[in-house]
Amino acid sequence: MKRFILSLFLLLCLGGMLRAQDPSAVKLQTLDGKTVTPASWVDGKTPYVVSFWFVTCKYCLEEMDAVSELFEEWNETVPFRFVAVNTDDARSLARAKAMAAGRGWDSFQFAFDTNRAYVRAMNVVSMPHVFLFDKNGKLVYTHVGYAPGDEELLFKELKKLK
Amino acid sequence: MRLFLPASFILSLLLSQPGRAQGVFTGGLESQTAIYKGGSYGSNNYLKLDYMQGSFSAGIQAEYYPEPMLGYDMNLKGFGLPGKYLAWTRENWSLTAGDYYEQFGSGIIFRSWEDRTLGWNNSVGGVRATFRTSDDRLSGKILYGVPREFLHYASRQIAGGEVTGRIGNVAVSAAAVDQIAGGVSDLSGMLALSWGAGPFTASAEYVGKKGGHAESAVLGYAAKGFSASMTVRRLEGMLDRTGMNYLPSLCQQQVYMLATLNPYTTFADGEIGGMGDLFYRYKTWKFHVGGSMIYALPSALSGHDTRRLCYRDINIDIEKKWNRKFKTVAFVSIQENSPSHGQRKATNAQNVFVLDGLYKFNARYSLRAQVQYLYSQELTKDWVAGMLEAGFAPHWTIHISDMYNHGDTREHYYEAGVTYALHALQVALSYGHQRAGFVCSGGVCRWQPEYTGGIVRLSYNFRR
Repeated sequence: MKRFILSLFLLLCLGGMLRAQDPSAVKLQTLDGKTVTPASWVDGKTPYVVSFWFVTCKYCLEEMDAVSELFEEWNETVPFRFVAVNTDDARSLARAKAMAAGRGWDSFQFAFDTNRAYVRAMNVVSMPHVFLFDKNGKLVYTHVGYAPGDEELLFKELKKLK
Repeated sequence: MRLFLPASFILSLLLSQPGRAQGVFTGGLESQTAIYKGGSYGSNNYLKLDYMQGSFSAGIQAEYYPEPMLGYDMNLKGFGLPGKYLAWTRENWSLTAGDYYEQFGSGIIFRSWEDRTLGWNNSVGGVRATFRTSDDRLSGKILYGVPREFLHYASRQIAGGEVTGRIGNVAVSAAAVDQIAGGVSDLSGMLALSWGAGPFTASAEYVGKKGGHAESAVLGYAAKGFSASMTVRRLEGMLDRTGMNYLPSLCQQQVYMLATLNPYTTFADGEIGGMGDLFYRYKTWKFHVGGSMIYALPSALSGHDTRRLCYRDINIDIEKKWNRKFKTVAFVSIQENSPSHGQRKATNAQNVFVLDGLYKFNARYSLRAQVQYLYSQELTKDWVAGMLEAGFAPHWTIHISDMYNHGDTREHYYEAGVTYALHALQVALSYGHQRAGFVCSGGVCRWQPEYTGGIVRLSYNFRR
């Protein structure tokens, strides 16, 4: 128990000392099997949203459906990119890729994190979990869970980056 | 280990001195505590911290189980720092010392991974090196270490490596893994091939080990509005008590509670099977058809010389968005399961029907309702279930659900709960009566005993 309290203490100490940027070098797979790193999503031009999902996460699918339907409309106001990071294992990878194409998420970029290395690097505990990064890769907003309407808050945060 | 915390703390301080590039500090906290009827309790707590600066990263994972929650192994009881590492990552190579996760191929030959829902963590403590050429044509990994067992290390070692070469659209991988226990070596090997062109992808993998082998193949087609995938796999003599071979059940993973009532678990002694999915979208309609079929091999059955059915299912879901406010899903799953993995002829059949509706009153308020019915003449026969969930975006969700077995036991399994979310913080409180059964995550299952009680779940994530 003492060690657990010590760990919590370290969390609070270090949390106050350090500032953020996104140099993550974790290797992910693209739809066509190529390697991509999260650092490559920083283009210096547009902000981007990273959303973690898996095929049996109903709330993840609903959130992605909601953003997909509004994507063009939002993009007219704030150009941005949406990167959907799938966290299924290799067994469900084929289904995830099929789902990505078949559900009409045509505007999204996809990355596949089959052994959850990026999940661990981002310390994602539960899903869906969205992270909004500005054009320089600085984290500006994050939200865990999804209730219909949460996407409006994401849009509000996106508009701040206009 | 005792020196690791203060050492990493001092190192982090040094690296965060003015004049140096600022690093990233991330953390995740997860805590679940259950109070069970009768006064007992269980509590699973995880704290993970990572620091990254340039090529350097370091982290720890602390776990504390004053009493493991019901269904989790009692060997987890206590406090531990089972995850701690230092790593250097450059564009073309990386080196890790400490506890790490890794996977070769699809994981059949070797996968170290974590799933807290299952209470599973077989990270490897040791060293690992990876490399890849700048054009990504050649990459490889090599590792050595001791697998984690509960909060400690197992009394066996593991050594292995994987190399992948890519030419155009084709990638070829080969891997070897050796598990050494009590001076006895257990060597296995893997060969995999993958190919992709336009909307088509295909891959195949072979794994061989002492007394067993596995073959798998995946085909995929993905185009705008229509996509399909198919996976087939054959296992023979792949039973692995160390848990390093990743052998999830090759059947459809379901969302709805009655469809997951009697899940299938892999028959690693010998099975052959496959699963497939079709997705189609037309205007405001979305269609999905999925199915799987798995047979036990005669070599794994005593006294049978033909294949016997282990599991099959066919599932159809149709999603319709009627307008901006109202969406429905109709779902049917027809399942047949052999509880003896084909050893006996008797199977259990069940048909599950679900209607799921979501109404969005405005940008903040929504209501979801589900009605589910399971029809069966075997086991506990018919079930009915319902769920209501009210969403008050962006912070609150309230739900109530009940699952009632009216075919046999006439018992209710109910739950009511509330969830609060604020940025990266999520707190959930629920109370209910849960039935005994398998809890599955990604096709891997653990047994969950029946209980009545309340659970508080907290998760928090930060990045600075």
